[in-house]
Amino acid sequence: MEGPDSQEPKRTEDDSVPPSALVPKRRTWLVLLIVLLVLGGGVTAVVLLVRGATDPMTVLVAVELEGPWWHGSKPSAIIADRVAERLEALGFKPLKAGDPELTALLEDAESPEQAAKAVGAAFVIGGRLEPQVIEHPLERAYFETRVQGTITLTPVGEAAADVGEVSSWSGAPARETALELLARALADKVFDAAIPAIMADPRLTQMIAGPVEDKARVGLARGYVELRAKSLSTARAAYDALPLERKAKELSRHEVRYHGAFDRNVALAAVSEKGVLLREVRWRPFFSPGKNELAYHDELERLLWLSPDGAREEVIFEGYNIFGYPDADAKGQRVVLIEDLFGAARAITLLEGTAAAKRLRVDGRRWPGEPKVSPDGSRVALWDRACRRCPARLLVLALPNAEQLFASEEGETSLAGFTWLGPSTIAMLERPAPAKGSDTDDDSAHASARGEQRLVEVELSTDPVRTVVLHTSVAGESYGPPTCSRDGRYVAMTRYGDYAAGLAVFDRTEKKLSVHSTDVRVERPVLSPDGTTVAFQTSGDIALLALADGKLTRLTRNPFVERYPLFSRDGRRVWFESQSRDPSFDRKNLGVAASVTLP
Amino acid sequence: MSRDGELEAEPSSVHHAQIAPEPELEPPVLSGETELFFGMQGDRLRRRARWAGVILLLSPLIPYETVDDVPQFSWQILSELPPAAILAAFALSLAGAAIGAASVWAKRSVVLALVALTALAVAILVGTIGAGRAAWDVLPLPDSLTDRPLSLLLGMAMAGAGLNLAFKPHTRSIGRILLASAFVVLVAFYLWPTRGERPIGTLFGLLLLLPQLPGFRYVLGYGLILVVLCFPALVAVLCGVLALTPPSREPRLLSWAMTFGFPALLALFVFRSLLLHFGDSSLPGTVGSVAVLAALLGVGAASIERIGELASMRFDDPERGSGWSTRAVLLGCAAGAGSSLAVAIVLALPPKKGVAWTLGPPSAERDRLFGELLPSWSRMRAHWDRSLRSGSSAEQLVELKAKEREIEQALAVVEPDVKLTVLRLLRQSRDLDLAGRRWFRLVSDVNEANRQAGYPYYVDPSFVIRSTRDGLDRRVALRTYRIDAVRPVLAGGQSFATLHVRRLAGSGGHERLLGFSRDVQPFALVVLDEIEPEVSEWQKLGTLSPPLCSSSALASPANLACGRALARVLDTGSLNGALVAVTERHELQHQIDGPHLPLAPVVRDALAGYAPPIRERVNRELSAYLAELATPAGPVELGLVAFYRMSLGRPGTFQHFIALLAVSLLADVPVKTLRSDAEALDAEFTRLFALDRAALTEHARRAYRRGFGVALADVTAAP
Repeated sequence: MEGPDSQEPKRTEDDSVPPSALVPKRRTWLVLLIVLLVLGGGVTAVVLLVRGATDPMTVLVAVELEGPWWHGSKPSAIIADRVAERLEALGFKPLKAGDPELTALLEDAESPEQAAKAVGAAFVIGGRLEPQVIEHPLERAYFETRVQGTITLTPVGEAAADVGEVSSWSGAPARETALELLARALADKVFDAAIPAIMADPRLTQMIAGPVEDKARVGLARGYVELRAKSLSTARAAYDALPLERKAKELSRHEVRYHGAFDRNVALAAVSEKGVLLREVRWRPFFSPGKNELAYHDELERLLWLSPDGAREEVIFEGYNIFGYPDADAKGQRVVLIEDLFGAARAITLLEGTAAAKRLRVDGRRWPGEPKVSPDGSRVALWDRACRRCPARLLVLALPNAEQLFASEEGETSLAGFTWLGPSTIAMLERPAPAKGSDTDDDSAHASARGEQRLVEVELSTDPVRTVVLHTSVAGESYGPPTCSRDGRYVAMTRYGDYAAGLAVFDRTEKKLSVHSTDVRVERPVLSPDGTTVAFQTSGDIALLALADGKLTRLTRNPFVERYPLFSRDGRRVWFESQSRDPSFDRKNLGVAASVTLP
Repeated sequence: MSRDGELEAEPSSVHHAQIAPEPELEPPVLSGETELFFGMQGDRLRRRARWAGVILLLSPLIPYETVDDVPQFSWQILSELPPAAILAAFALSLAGAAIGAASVWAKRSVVLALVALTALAVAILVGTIGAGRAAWDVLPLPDSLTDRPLSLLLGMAMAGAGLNLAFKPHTRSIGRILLASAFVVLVAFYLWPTRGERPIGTLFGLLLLLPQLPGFRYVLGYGLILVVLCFPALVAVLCGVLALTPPSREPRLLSWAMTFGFPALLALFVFRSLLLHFGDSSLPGTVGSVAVLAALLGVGAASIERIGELASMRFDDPERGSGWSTRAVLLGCAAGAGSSLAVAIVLALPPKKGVAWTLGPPSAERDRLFGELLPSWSRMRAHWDRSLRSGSSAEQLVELKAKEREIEQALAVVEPDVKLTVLRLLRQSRDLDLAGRRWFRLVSDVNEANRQAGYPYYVDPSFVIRSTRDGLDRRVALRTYRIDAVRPVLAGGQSFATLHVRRLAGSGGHERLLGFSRDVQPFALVVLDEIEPEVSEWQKLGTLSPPLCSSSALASPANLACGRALARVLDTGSLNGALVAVTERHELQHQIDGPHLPLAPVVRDALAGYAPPIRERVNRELSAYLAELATPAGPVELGLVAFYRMSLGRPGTFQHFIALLAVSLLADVPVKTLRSDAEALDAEFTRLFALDRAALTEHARRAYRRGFGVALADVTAAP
């Protein structure tokens, strides 16, 4: 083939062969073919390289909650979406779980890691969470869910590593909704568990130390993780400083022993032969990726026995929304608690030995509260209301079958408290019902209630139940919740009157009420097992009053709030709750169980 | 010196004896100067063919538009285009390949010239044909891919070629002819309106506007446009002068300016962009467009020049004897052009119209499938689509899959073909870049399966495409209807059809659309449950005392006349049936018109300054509304009632415009008069309402012919 130049008509004077004819003809098509092949090969190689390359910022979220999202689990999909959103905000490239191509890839892959490798992802955030779903047999169905599990991070090509525990719970009238709420609550916890581990990966640390472009890519994530670490360490330091602060500010000459760390809220529920029953509410400081500030995650509430010497803990229940204070019998064999099922219903739950928790009653209409187990564990008495702030009635159920043994008339009286005097005898403090028309949720209705308070003894072993009025208040005085000595002879109450809160002790044998004057305000008095001494809270401290000589002993003296004293079974130690403000969260109170050994 | 004489005299016998042994193949012997010019011209053509071929071949790399600083390329919309439009989109590139190949392989420059001219002509024609076919479809071909005025290109190319020939004595006569032709073609370009204003009108409009502009920047901007627009006129004037007094010496600079001056002027926009913004994202597109224009003009002018030069030798080619014969090349070009155009024409056949649909009874299960599940799935798909563009969207995909499973279960109650097509619709809709054409095909398949099964359900696809910085954003959706009746008709010997439909319970509808029609579909739709509220409103007006067509407007003579017309329709029978009939006629007219309805001069003049899509919409609606007045055996005055009510709308709205234009045509009164004189408009309406039905129809037919230059089609029920 001739080139264009050679196509011009040649004008020569002789017929000799032109020099151009001696030049071999160029194989243009061959050259073109070679160029095309080289170009094609190059492009293919580049495409393969690009497709096969792993981007350290690309992450696959494959946490399973009721199965994986690529098999149709909506809760898992919610987690994937939310975690992806958080990662994307920090400059990562989370794989789009809603992309059908990725779904198909995962469906066919042996593992999420295999799929992640195929699409060039560097990490897989995984974990298999198996939720527990409980359906409550209410008039309107209600589902509660809870889950606890481990989150893993798998750098593609390496082994998976556990990066944190997550837990959450939820409830809703529909199963799907409950699981979706659970997933929404879990998502940020999953993210929080994974992000520090991702940033600690050598590939990311290399980027941080690498060229400017790499630094810029990981800049947001790096800043986030650093801020997170700083916030959490500041919070931890504040908690760690609390015990020292307490020691420094304790002015009492008695040694106060604190049982547990100052990063939770512990309620002192009961004392039995088994030890001290504690309700523990914990929350985990957490750096919120949404607000970029310190927040907290509530953890499951726990009920536990602390051994009488305060050395050992035995967790007997984990749940949520324990309503008020649980109670136990004298030997600690039966524990009764009230669970608030997300406002939809309340459950009266019995814990006995190592058996699973038994919900004696689940009711969406009634509001039970303040269970008190009889000393022998055969009965439980509690307040029972028709609405959250309605006047309470006294309800007594047999244990463990929850048969109703007694219920005071609803609305006739308002109760100020009750206590077991013996296995079948209760003393309750009642007042005639408020005026008609004030039976509402309004606090002022109760405040306006007038009439004399009566200390009434209820004998459940007789048929019909026998009630005896032990004492009736006089005008200008009223009483606080009663407690009694172990033998049931003495009943101690706060006596309000004369602009002061004093102590009143009723002697059932003598049928006589004695009023003990003190220089301090007496709140929540409890009698020692032998009935000779009363422990009480007074202006945030705990004090003792010897009934015989009126000697007052201050067990604690500090600026913290100490309350709800209880005597140990042997009467040699006074337990109480010691509270202070959470240094990290204004709206949270910290509390530990504390005790003082009596001289 | 007579160079013409030299050409004919003194053949070189030596040369003749050396190169061409056969007498019939002997090339002519040229004088030295002629030979020199011939060789130079051939070299020029070959050079231009090479670079122009490369530019045209690479033309698909030029973005057709820029959105948010992101260039958009033609290959991104390929899936939206019918085959004819795809061919059109790449026609220029194919022409470039042909020209490039010819520049390498053609030994004779005349062969190259013929190939180049044929390729360019075919490319431009195929582009026009493809754009015409795309107009029937989901997405029109972007103007920037095909909008190259042939007359302008031809005129400029002839001007460049003519000037190069006019100074040489032996080609002077041909050169003058070409210059004169260029003058005629360029004048025609200015005077011939396409689907808008005449370029001469635009030119004068800009000239008048220039002194009123608010600042120097505007004057500069508009001035630049004016200079560009004036350039062909300048070339035309020069062509006229030079045709009368051809130059005696080679006007090298002038020749270059006539050929490449126009793209060079357009390149000023490139400099402007560089000066103002240091270049922006639209720069590659502008540079590319200038390069393509230069390539077209350069290779076109050189090819015409070569053929002109040969013509001056009475087609006695000095290069004869090497390469292909002229006859073979002509035959090849003709065959190539013919086959290309034939393919383009076949691919560009408009969609078939009309449908035969035997309706069976509905069922509760199928009502649920089409009325509840499919629309719900469509909404979920849209949600998933939107979410996936901004986030992970796994939740939405899971929900979508769950809905698909529900639909799969519900498909147990339908015929296998319906099941198959619905399943295909579900599966293929997982594609986030689902093209509108595919979407329409998938939904059409479901409709076709329904038709064959005799199911009275119509699934209506909708599709919106937007260019975004992240690429094309395609949104698909569907609505479902139950078909109450199928109305096949004949118009101009062709079959058409309307479906009378009602919304299914769970499906949304097109709000306040009494009917609708799509060019791509074989039938139009009348939505009965959208008509009912309209009927109720009109009934209230018709029963007022006195009856009116608008209770909020003054009780003017036209309002009263309109009210009387409305009351007469109410007296004579069902208003609902009447409104259905006129709506049906309206939608049928859209089907009959298609996208290539001639632009009515009244629309062109009244909306001269408006964007072409607005003009097109008003033009098409005007045609359809006028057709309402020719509803067969129908209460045609309802069409006039509609016009009257539309005329009471806010000035500047579509409806108001259409009403004015319609009355202008019906009463043969200038639009300006009606627009400025409300009383005149009222009086014309009063006169029109006084006509009986037959006279009104006749008026409408005359108005239609006056407006569109064609007769309004007669519609009859199909046998």
